[in-house]
Parts: sequence; structure tokens; C-alpha cells
Amino acid sequence: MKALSWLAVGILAVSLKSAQGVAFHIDPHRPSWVEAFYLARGLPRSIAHAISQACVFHVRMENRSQAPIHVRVERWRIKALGKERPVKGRKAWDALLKEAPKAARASFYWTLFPDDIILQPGEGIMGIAIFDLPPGTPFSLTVSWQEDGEDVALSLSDLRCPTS
Amino acid sequence: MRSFLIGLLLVVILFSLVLAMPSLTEVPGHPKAPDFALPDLDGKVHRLSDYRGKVVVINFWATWCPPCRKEMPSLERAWQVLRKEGIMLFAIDVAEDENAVFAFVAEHDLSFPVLLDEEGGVIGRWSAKGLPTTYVVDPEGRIVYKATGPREWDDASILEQIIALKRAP
Repeated sequence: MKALSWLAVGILAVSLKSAQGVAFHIDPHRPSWVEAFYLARGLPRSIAHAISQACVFHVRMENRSQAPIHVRVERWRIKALGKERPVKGRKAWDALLKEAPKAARASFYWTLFPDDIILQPGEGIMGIAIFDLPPGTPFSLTVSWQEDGEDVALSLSDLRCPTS
Repeated sequence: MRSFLIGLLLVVILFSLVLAMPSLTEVPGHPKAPDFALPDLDGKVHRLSDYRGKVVVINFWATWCPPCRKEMPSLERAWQVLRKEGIMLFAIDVAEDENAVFAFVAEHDLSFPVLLDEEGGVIGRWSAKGLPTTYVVDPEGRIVYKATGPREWDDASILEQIIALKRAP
């Protein structure tokens, strides 16, 4: 496995590119922005507020390499408060959204970064990643993907969940 | 000499942009496109199977999605070419309120049909994983191409890929 690492400073946006040309970008969303965004998507205020407090980032990946890449969010790891665990995928939010209108649930689902996606050369995708941590929590993140048949991992340390 | 170097640099930049332009990805096995019946902004219902015999481009998008917004102008320019070729194009908005979609369409002066998948039931039956995702369906109703993420839809090579399906055996 190839490993790349980066020290992220506070909650600033970070953009990186692997040796083969896969670009990864992560950018924090303030809780107030998140709450307003999901209210506008039709989620009830209590749910939009709960999501806004759960450490929300914008994530973008672009495959500028010469081969397809396979990205599976379930293989990403988050380390915070002395524990390491996988990043939660779309299904993990079903219970929280149980009471939301069907259209708003669908809208929420499609705003999230895809759980499992293959990007062809030149393709890119974006979405929201929710790390389910309290505001202000410091954490590190390891993202990974398969690139040209090989696992590539990218570690970002000293990230911090956005606060208002 | 200086203008020659600037010209050379421009050629290199343009060449690299052309090389970087992702084309459409062929979908293995050309699976049958899932049918749908969705309303446009005037309330007229469009059923995919009614367009059998035509090439149909289907773009799944949402107004909040930055890359979706980015590709809309090129999709409109592509539509001006494709409609003359007898090719259909639908932009299917995913899980949004009609008013938000209407405002966006009016602001960007989009003339292709925009359909509303208000509860996300249609996109769930396709293989899309994120937005935007676009499919090209051949006259036999099979998915031939897929594009994940945005494209410059009026790029000549992409238009050629789509138009060529009219002639495909």
C-alpha cells in the first residue's frame, strides 16, 4: 500500500494529489451553513441541527490519473478521542432521518459523498462527509482508494471539526 | 521570439486541456435502461419508453450541486446541436422542490426538458452513485454510455460519441 500523509492546519481546507494524479480536497462546513443548507432541502429543524453539529466537511475527488480508481468510504478511517473507527456511510444516517419527509431524505442522501464509486480517468465527484464528532473535536482521517490495482492511503492529521 | 514562445505555450495549454477532457465511458453489456414517467416543469409527463427509436441523453442533477450547475451551460449548447439530430435530452432534477428548480432553469435560460424526480425514486433504479451522473441511451433503449461528474457537453468528441449512436447497428 502506498501511503501519503499531510498535516492539516486547524480547520482550513486541504487539497492534495497522489503521485498517480488523484486529487483529494476537503473543506469544512460551519454548523450554521449546514443547518441552513439542510433546512432548505426540507429536513425538519431538529434533524438539520443535529447534522450541523456532527462535523461536516465538503469532500471532492478527481481522478487525474490514467486508470480508473475505486473509492469505498467504508474503508476510510477516522481517529478521534483516542479511538479509531470507519467513516459512516449513507445507511448510518437512516435512523436519524426516519421522521423526515421522503423527499428530504432522498435529497440528504444525494448530498453525501458516494459510499462506493468508480471514477474513470478525468472524472471527479463531490459530496458531503459527516464524521459524527462534536464541534471542535480534533481528529485525523485516512482516506483510501484503489488506483491501478494498488491500494493508496492518504492520511490527514490535525483536522478539527468546525465550530460556529 | 517572445510571441512565438507565448503561442507555443498556448498550444501546449490547449493540447493538455483537450487531453484532460474526459469522454463518455462505455457501460459493459449495454443494460436495458430502467423506464420512468416523470413530469416536466409544465406538468407534462415524459415516459422514457415513448422515446424508443431515438438516442436519449439523461442527466441527473440538483440545483445545490456545484458541478451540476457548472455543466448546465454546456449541456444547453449541446442540446442546440442534439435536437437538430433528433436526439432527446432530459435533465432530471433529484429530490428538490419544483420552485427551486423553476428558478434555476429560468435564471440559466435552459431550453431542454427538465423533469422532476421529487422523491428520488427514479435515480434509485439507475446505477448512479453521485451527482451529476449522465447516461446515453441508444435507440433500442439500452444504456451505452455513462458519465460520472461534469463534462463539457458541447465538446466535439462527446457530441460525436452521442450522435454516432444514431448510426450504430
